[in-house]
Amino acid sequence: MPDPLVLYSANTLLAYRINERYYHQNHFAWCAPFFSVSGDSIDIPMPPSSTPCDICRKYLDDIQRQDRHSSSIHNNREGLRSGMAAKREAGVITPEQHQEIERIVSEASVGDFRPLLYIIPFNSVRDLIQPVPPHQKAHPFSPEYKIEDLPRSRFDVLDWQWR
Amino acid sequence: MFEAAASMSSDRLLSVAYYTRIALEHCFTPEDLRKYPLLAGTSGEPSPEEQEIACQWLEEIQNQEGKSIDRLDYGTVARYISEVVGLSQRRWESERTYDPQEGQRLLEELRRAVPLPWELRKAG
Repeated sequence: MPDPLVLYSANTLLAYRINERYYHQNHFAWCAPFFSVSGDSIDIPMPPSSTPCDICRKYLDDIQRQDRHSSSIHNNREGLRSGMAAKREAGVITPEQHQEIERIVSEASVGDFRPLLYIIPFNSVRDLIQPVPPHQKAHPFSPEYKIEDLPRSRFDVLDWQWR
Repeated sequence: MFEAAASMSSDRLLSVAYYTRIALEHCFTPEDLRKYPLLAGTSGEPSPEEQEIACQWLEEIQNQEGKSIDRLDYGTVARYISEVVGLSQRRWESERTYDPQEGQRLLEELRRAVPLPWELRKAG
């Protein structure tokens, strides 16, 4: 399969803000080369949780319902906590900043988890991406990439609204 | 299930829960996870012991369901993800010692410091 032109990554406004303020504008992103995959129209199977479109829709649904028990929001909080622990260990943030972020994540309201869509030109991150090898995936043809330190200057952000 | 969670520190529980969740999202069996550690090489890599606990939790799920993780339907996987993440969430909440108003103040500060970028375009 040829390299994709762009990668898409669904994230939350809270994650965006934390990365901007505390992690020197470096962002963590799970990416896919497709925004949306329809099982009927494209013959490439992808787990639902890996499709940026599905992730954005789920966040928006939960925000509209003000679902305080949303699994997506729950998972995002945990991901942020795991990330802050890694950043503390790596010396990116101090223990005091770690505490600050923990308090922020705990107190964040449902609206803080508004979905943002990152559009990432593949060529600008070629040196940063960590592809997930095919044998590690639920579906062998489901391309996924991980970028641990994605500089803000290398991607565009869309405020995702579903109408 | 997941009885080991009770005797773990909150940091370890967070790490194991997060790692288990990632493995479940990828429909990894315990054997897959042992063979291909998902977060290997990252700064947040779980310790070998934490990785093994995550594998044991995947085994517990398989035993409970009577089938391999990669044969579970997505609804079942999602339920276990929620259960595992909930363990960690409840621990964090029970050990929280700060004043929630302090958290609110910090959150407001963050919102002001990083507003929605004016150049964000509406999509959809």
